[in-house]
Amino acid sequence: MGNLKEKFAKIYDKYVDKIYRFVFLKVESQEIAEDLTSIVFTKGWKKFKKGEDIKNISAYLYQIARAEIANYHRERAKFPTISTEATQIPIVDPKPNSEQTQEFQSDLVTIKNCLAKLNNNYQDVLVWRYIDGYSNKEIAEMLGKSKGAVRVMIHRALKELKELCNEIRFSGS
Amino acid sequence: MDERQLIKKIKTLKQIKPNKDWVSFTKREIFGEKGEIKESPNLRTTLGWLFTPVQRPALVVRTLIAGVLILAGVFVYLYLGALTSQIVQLPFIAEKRAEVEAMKTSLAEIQVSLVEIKSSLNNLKNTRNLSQALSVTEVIRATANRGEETVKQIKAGSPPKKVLATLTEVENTLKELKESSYHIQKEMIENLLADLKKRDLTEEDQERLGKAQEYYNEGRYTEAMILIQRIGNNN
Repeated sequence: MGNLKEKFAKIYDKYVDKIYRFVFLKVESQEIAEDLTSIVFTKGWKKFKKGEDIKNISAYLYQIARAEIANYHRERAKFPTISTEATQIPIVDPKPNSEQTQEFQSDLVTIKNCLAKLNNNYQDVLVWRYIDGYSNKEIAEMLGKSKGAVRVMIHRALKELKELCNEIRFSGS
Repeated sequence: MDERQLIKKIKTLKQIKPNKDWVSFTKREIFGEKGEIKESPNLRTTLGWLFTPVQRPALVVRTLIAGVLILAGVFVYLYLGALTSQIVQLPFIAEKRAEVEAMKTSLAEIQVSLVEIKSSLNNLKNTRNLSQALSVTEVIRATANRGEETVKQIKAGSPPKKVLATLTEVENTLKELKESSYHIQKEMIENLLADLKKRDLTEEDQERLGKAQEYYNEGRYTEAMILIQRIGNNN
């Protein structure tokens, strides 16, 4: 068990930022992203400690994350809650100048909101390709699609995102 | 904006990172390591399970059921009640000084925890389930009330000056906590009422909403909250 714990601790350290970011980009607040991310890893650990064979751990974690995000949105649609849009993005090293930070924050919020308007698969491929740095092959494995299909998806997602973003003026553009 | 610039913008999202404290807290929590941490037995560690989740407000709402917190409140009450009797019986001679010091430390730790709860209260507004968050504010308020009563009882037992000073601090923080939770509860109910008014509700829920609004106007937030929570649960 100790060995498994150690192994999963390493997995946690390696993926926590990525999964958190992946979730955060699809929900309204930091708190919700934290809740869902902790559920992802708790579920991951439950399966991992049973010694079950997980062939592709990142694919597995993202699979749980996608399911949890979908559950969250389903629940949210069922019960009355107040919709809030993130106005502050959690970043580690804000720029020293407060004006620059504000500008930067506003750009982050804008791109986050544009991304959120894409369909889920388009959002995911863009995040995996350009933020997490996965190759088309790795993304194809995660989605259970061919490399070619992923390439096309990325191309279409970028095109759609470009149209959405061009409607909004970024600071400094 | 061309594709290259767009990709650059997407890449800026790499800077989104979770809070470091949350990362390490969650890691410990996943592996269930909280219980394995050895600390000297004192009041705060005894009540650790009550205070720790409040350091993560997002977690409070999801995992803590109100009943557990109420129980925790009772536990605080009973525990401090036991301390009260200790104080009353203390002859305040030199050998008992250490016990007084220990109690003073424990009270100071409660004070720190109360301040943490107070500062976390604001985050409740951002949680995914406002209805549950409302319950948490109610429980916090009830716990603060019980705490105040307990402090009064301890004070009535003429505790030593050192303890009295810390007690007064705890008492003040409890008061502030009660007020903060009251205001946050008010704000959340206000927002929920406004949000519910925009929705298509069944006739039954419309009635509940109307009644909840009445209670809210009369300052009866607990009753308003109960009715709001019943809206949408017609099965």
